[in-house]
Amino acid sequence: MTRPTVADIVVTGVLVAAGVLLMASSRGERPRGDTAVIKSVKDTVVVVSLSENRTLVVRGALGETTLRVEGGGIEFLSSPCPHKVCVDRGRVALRGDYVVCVPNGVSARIMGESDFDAIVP
Amino acid sequence: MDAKRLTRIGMLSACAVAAYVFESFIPVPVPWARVGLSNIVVVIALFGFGFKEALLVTLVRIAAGNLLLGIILSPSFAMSLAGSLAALAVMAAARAWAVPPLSVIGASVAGAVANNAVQIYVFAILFTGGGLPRELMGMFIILGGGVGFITGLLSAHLLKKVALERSIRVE
Repeated sequence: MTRPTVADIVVTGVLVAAGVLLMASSRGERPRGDTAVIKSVKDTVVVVSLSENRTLVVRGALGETTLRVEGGGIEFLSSPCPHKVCVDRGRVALRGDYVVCVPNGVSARIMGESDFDAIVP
Repeated sequence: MDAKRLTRIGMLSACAVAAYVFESFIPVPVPWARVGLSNIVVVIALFGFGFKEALLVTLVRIAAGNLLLGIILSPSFAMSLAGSLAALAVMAAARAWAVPPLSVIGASVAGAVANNAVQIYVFAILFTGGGLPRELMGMFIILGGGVGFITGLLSAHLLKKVALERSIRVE
């Protein structure tokens, strides 16, 4: 069996350590958000309030994605993508959280009021 | 391009596409992560034959693989194309210029990390409005390190032991 050289192990160690540092630097408490920004590669950007329950249908690269706003959070109900990673993600409600369906090019990101200069209804 | 070289690239590409589609059905604990089996073929193409071979195998793998998975020309396609080309560039650079020299394993690790980092970067451009998701980036860099090490070991083993050695030069 081929063995890694010292240089191989050093490179692996440095890269993994950089990854750990990046992860550690992003930890922190986050408040609940009040709006969600929904984007699609096909449609325009939509900003919805999380205080009002509703169902949205968004066109993406492969087909239609159904999103549901409920209980101050948002979730993907259905999507035409192969792996349904977005649907399995469940409901998100904290500021900075997002659900993304990469194959269909649809994303929802939770924002707080201070993230915007102005919200136009 | 002579027939022997063309056949070789065709065979390697077929292996890479088969591995790419096969690994998309392997369950992984993290969304979007891949086991990186098809990268083994690219590593073998690069270290066993050369940059041109590896580049062609990469392009065929992305085009045919994404076509077969039904995600061609979607954001997934952009992410995997950018990531794969970055990985190939980094591995080729590591092979040619790294001081002290890296083996196949170190190059594979660097390539896998480059692949993941560029994918998350493209992901950020497409979806988060420029903000880099640091937690995701960190997680995928760690995953790339681990996956790259394992696929690097397998590639090194294959390059050396399999009967391939009769037809290729191993450096």
